[in-house]
Amino acid sequence: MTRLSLIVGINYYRDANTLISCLQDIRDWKDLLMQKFDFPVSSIRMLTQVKETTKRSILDSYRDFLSALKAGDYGIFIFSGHGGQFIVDEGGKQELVEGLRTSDDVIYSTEIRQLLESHLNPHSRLVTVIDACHSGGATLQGSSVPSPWRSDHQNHVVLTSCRQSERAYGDAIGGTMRGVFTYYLSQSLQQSQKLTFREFLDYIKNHLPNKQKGYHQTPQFFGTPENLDQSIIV
Amino acid sequence: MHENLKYNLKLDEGIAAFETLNISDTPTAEEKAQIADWQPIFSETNYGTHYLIYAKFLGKKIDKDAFQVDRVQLYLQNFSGGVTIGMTGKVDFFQSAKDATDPDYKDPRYPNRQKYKIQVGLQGMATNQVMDHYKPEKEIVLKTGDIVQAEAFFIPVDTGISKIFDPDDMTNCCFVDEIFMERNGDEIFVTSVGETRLRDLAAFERIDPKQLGKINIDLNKPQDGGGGPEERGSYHPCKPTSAIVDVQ
Repeated sequence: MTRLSLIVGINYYRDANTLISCLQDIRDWKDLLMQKFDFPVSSIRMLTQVKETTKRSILDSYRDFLSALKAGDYGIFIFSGHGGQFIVDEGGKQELVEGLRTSDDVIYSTEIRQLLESHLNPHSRLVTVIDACHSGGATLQGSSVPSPWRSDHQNHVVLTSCRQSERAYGDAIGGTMRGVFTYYLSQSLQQSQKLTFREFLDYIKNHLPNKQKGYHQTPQFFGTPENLDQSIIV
Repeated sequence: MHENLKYNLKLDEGIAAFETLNISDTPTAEEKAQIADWQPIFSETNYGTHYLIYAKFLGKKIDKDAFQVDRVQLYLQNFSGGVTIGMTGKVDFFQSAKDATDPDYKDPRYPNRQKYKIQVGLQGMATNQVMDHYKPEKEIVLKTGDIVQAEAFFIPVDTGISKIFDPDDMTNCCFVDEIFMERNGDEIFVTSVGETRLRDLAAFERIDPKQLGKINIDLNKPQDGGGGPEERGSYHPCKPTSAIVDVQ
């Protein structure tokens, strides 16, 4: 089994305010995967610089990442940055879709789903972690979308930092700005290598949302009931 | 109520390009046309100086409510204050994604409205007031009801004056660049917000990234925090920086 990760963290945006917490998320993930889970450095691809985090660059890297996952392989895709809900024209009709801001533009959930449908091997296992505002999914006038980031494959699980209507937060934790959701997820993975989604959901309920600290975000899980008892990272 | 009041930006093939500041005392009709038709798109106060940026969007009408922009001219006028602000010559003009939380997309008169951003590089203690012959990288067609939102990004004032990249000599700075720096008695330093701004400028190569190394800022390393929680989503403050397009 091959294990691969694609980690995207964006602090700098042409069309949105600068963030300062996302690069630390990427560093935390890299340390966690290498030190706790023995991912070889060659299996971790990180995109953090402006030229690496353009829409084109991320989509190309995501396609390559999915294509590299063969049957039995494990992949984890991580995104820390601005998220939003965007209006797009679909055949003259206005649709509301989830999007992730890149340094130069926006990647829409529809574009991610297209790549998942065309490139994800259904016999591989994929975990997607998104720490961004509105990452729980978009709805258009009440029509619900289970998760815009999830494929129909049984072995694809998505964790997001908040509901569709909520924002996600970064804050100074341990003297450094980092994503609050990412912090709790990486902390819980540090404590238990075989942490399952169910265990994490039980854990995170005690930490988020946290009204006292102003973290009005409720992490979300998208997967099958069977996925709940799988380890988040293998 | 959230209402971001806006300028009107009339687009007309008859608007004459501005050619020179050397207009005679008794301008001819052609000269009058050059100095007329500047339309405000941005107003702000920085370094205690109140200034406006005016624009001419030049091009051709390609439909009854559509105007193709071939060239943009900008004029910055300082109105009050002691520090002259000028343009750096760097401009970025592009179509913005339609963020559903932006109230500008909820105007029922313009359901298909697009928003464009024009980002203008500025500098304190600089004198370049006119930005000429700027041609958009991609073809831009503005339609009636579209919005042009202007944004300014400041680069540091003359670094020889502020000593911003000279930490050993910063106490000898003659001008504390308040966009990036702060004075606390004898101590002068780059603020946390200033560091974020410098990082952003360097990331987009609006300043030389190598300069950050002189003050121990490494773009590849995370920034220390302390500023409180930040939201990973956009917000849309009311500011006098947006204009509604009106194709004539």
